[in-house]
Amino acid sequence: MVTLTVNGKRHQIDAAPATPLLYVLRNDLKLNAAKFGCGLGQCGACTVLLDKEPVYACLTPISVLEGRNVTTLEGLGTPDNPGPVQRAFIAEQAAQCGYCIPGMVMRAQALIDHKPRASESEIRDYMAPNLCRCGTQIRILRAIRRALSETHTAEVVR
Amino acid sequence: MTRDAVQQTNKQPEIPFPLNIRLAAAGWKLLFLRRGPVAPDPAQSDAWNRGRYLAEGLGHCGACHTPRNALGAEKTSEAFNGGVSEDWHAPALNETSRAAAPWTAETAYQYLRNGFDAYHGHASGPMAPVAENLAKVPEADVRAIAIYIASLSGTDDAAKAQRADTALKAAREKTLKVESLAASTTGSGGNTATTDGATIFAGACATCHRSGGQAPRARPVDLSLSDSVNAPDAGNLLHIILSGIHPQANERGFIMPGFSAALTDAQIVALVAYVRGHFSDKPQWTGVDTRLAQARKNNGS
Amino acid sequence: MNAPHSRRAFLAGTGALVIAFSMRDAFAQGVMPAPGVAPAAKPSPGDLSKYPRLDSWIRLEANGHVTVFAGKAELGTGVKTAFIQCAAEELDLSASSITMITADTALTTDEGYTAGSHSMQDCGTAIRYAAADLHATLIELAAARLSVNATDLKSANGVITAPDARKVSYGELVDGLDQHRDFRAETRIKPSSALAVMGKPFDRVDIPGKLTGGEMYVQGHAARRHVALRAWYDRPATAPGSQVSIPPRSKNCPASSRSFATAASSRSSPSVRSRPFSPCMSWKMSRAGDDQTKLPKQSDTQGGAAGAAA
Repeated sequence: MVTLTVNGKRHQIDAAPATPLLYVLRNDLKLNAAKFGCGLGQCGACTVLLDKEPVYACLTPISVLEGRNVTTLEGLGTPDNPGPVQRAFIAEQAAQCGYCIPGMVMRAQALIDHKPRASESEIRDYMAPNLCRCGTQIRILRAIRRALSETHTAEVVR
Repeated sequence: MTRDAVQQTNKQPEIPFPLNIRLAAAGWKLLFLRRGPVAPDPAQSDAWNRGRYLAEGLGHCGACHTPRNALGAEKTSEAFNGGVSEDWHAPALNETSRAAAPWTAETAYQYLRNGFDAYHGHASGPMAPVAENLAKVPEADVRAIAIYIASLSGTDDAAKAQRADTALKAAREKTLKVESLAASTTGSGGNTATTDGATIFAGACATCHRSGGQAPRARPVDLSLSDSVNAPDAGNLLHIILSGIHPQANERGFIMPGFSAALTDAQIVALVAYVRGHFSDKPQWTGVDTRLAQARKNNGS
Repeated sequence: MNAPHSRRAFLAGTGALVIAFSMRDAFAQGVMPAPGVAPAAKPSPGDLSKYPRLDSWIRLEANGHVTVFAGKAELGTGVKTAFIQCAAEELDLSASSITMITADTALTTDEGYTAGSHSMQDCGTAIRYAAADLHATLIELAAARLSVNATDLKSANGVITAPDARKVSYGELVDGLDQHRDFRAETRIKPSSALAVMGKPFDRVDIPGKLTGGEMYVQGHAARRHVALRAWYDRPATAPGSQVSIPPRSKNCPASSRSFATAASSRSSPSVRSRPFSPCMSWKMSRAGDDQTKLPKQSDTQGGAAGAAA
């Protein structure tokens, strides 16, 4: 038994400790946002946040997660109440097939948390590990810029 | 003009004292600068001489691979004994090399030209841009450098081939053990300790590194042969675990993801101990936790 | 004559070169004959010619709600949204009154592959004609009920209005409506100049789900499977490839721990050998005939060497 904290909820998982987090998210917790893309840490489709840092769920054994917080796309918002980054992606219509999008949003969330005033080249560098085969990159970048600027606006209003 | 002018304050020089005193450089040169042409060795082939000329001159391989004295000059008496570059260990290239499979002119050529050799691994850290550049120069020059570098660790090719063979056989046996390791950790009763290195390896690494270089697509080095795993210093393995391996900007190449965010310090130390213990016949490193702190500091992760 | 050419002058001279394209013909097949061609006797209603029943494509319920059926899948190109626009356009109905069902083998027609830019051409056109036919029928029924000329009626948002302001909603007309009939070949769709919904910005209906972990359809696989197996699939760089069959689930084998691995032959031996490493596993392997030489070069050159080293 391994104890996991995912999106603020604790779960007891009956799985081999070497099992990568992705399989537990999808099979046991029925959280389907994180996707299996390559299983090799090459594409970013499985990206989730571990204590606010983006990691590949396909290469993170659940044994290392005791006492740490996992956030998936489902933890950022719901269809009725999407989070700021999700809202920005929707507003910019930044998805085609959508397979890479959960990973993109999670990495973008980390970028906004760490570098709310990231420059264009910083955005591109930071997002480089996540691949999109449809060619949605330009809209994704636009959505990230929108989310960043809305974060600034929110700061000013506060 | 197609671009607007940009206001930019010039950066102040960042060269620290006493290196910022130009006169000091004159004194240093007096002590250590070797002048004059490199005399060819008539006992060696033209290619070897060309290789030495390139490696000791323009290539300045020793700048990293030779240890330095207190004044920062290469210790000529310990040429190619292994040095340090940007917190990475630059392995020894002479007979003190720890490489499991000895360097030959062919493997050295593969490594320098393609940034990867199956008997040694990927050119990483400060070596990566070197291989990137050597991919673009004339092939004959890279072959010449490889011939010279390989000769540093002995010219008895038959003996080298035998050592490489032995290393391969040993690696193959260890590869089999990776799978039995997976057997012990994939049932639901595996070791649930958060710092069990074998479990971390099975979950985070084995997907690519389980069968010594056979995994489809990823094509990793067999860890038993990896120079980083066999090195006298844990730094290179730590850097690779923290930051992974990535192609140079805008170039194609192999990717290994970094694990600096996924694994805690204690978990990385446990993983390093497992990898060194399982894949190398060298003794365990000591002070890996201190070395890890230094590596994290130096690569900003 | 030999006046010096400046880049500015050259660019100024090219200012009139405008490249334009139009989707008019795509939107209005059967309405606008190509220049120089005599008007076609019959419009081409896309896949309606394969599946002519109106209710294979569109169904109106008594509450005024419309369900539209498409045999093409939403792969991320936005066709699901575009189909809704097609139906809303021809029906004079708001998109919120339309439920769109795509590529459901129990409910929709079989329109074959979703490929080759055929979704709008074959399916979008069919939906437009089916919706236009249904709309024309509703106007006829309303004309009879209100005793006015069909041409005097106006429709908007699912309501038909007579010149004297009397109204009848689409839902109220369902009673006398035969939807299980063939498409009428004389049906005409709106001319491109009259389009109000199509060709206008319209938020894609599949995007919110994709941003919040909802189910989605990706290239032939619903991205929600019952269980994802962690599989290690080895194949040597130069020997013929191997096929793996996945073991059935058993009670001793919880879903997440059903890992299995295969280790194929070494390059020197063509025979296939497998090494189980979990008590949960049982599988068989068979040789497949795929040709390794056709793999991308990169994986062969370096992979071959690495395979030898292993």
